Amino acid sequence: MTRATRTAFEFSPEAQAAIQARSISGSFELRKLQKLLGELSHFDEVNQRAADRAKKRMIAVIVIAFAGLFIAVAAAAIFEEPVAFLLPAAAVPVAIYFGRIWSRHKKSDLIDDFRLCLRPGLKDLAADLDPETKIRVRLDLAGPVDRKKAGQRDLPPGRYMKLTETTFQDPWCEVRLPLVDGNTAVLEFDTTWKKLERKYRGGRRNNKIKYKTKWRKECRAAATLVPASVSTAWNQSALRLDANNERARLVEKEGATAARLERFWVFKGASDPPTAAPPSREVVGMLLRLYSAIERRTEAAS
Amino acid sequence: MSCQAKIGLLVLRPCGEPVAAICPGCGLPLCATHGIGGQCPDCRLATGNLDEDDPGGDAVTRHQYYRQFGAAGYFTPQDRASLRSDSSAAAPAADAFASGLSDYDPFET
Repeated sequence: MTRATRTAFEFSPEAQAAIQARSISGSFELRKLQKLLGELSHFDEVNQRAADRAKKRMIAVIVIAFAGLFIAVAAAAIFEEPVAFLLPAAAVPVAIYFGRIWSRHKKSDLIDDFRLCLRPGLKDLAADLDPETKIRVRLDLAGPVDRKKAGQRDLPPGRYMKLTETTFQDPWCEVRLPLVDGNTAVLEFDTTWKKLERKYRGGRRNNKIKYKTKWRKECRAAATLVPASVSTAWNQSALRLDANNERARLVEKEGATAARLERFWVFKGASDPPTAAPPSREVVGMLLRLYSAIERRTEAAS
Repeated sequence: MSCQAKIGLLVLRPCGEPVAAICPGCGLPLCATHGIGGQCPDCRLATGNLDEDDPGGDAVTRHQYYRQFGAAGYFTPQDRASLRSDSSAAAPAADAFASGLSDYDPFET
């Protein structure tokens, strides 16, 4: 945890452990889980702002160093004094200092999905959750890191010199939500991160070798409704399935037939991994539609 | 008598807390929380006097969800027809799910 975020806000021991590990695992009461996610959201926002600030300062100092270097060359030619080189020379350690701060904040960065998607979704579902039963959670908030690297391959380069695609598999979230009526909702989020690195010749005069990175974030959310009753039947027509982005299936779970709805999103980003996440409303809406698909025999009987 | 203001999103049900007031708009018995503002959340929502952050403001969220996705308790005519038939009639509807049954365990238990 960085000094700035530690002093500005007093984190609970659970939050500190989650920030260090960049993950959460265990069973929580709703209120405690919401508090923990709130603390992590606060940390992530402050950390992100600090990283952005450090990056801007580093770039500014590098620009000043280059400008100072040109001025120093000109001044040295005119005055025949090397003193002017002190400015760009002094800027180098300052740029390194800000670069290290930026790197430190980036290393402790958490993926934004939990605060953009999971946390607001839990808030909307709070009144439906059984207060007597704990919520089982497994969250991995580290994002596309080396240990999640699933493969790297060279693609046909086309007009580039080299084109490499690195894939990261990131099943970052599993949440099991006990509902007040005895049913259980399970939310799972998987992200496949694809990093596309291009090497090419650019520039009109010097034909320099350049590198460019693009990111693609493929998100999959799966909502499963495990009914308390083994005799529950499902009606797919009530799901109003979006055939382009969704698929539904029945799954056997604990002797009952559960229904599972999956939805897919793709986000793109340049140089940095995309921060956009599946909208929480659409994810909660998946559960709502699964509820609509339950055939309610007791109501029909009455 | 208990508060009849609706709570929940997936599992829509009456609040059930002790009654402290009656909604002058619809006559619904209300608890102290849902009676804040003088009317029940649904009446306040209908007149545009309810925000998401107000007590009972979950009615705003619920209304938005139901408008976009339909209510959880909503029954189509097909649902009703399938319910009137015997239990084996549920099977064709279940078969319509894209991939059919599969062995799936969301959590190791």
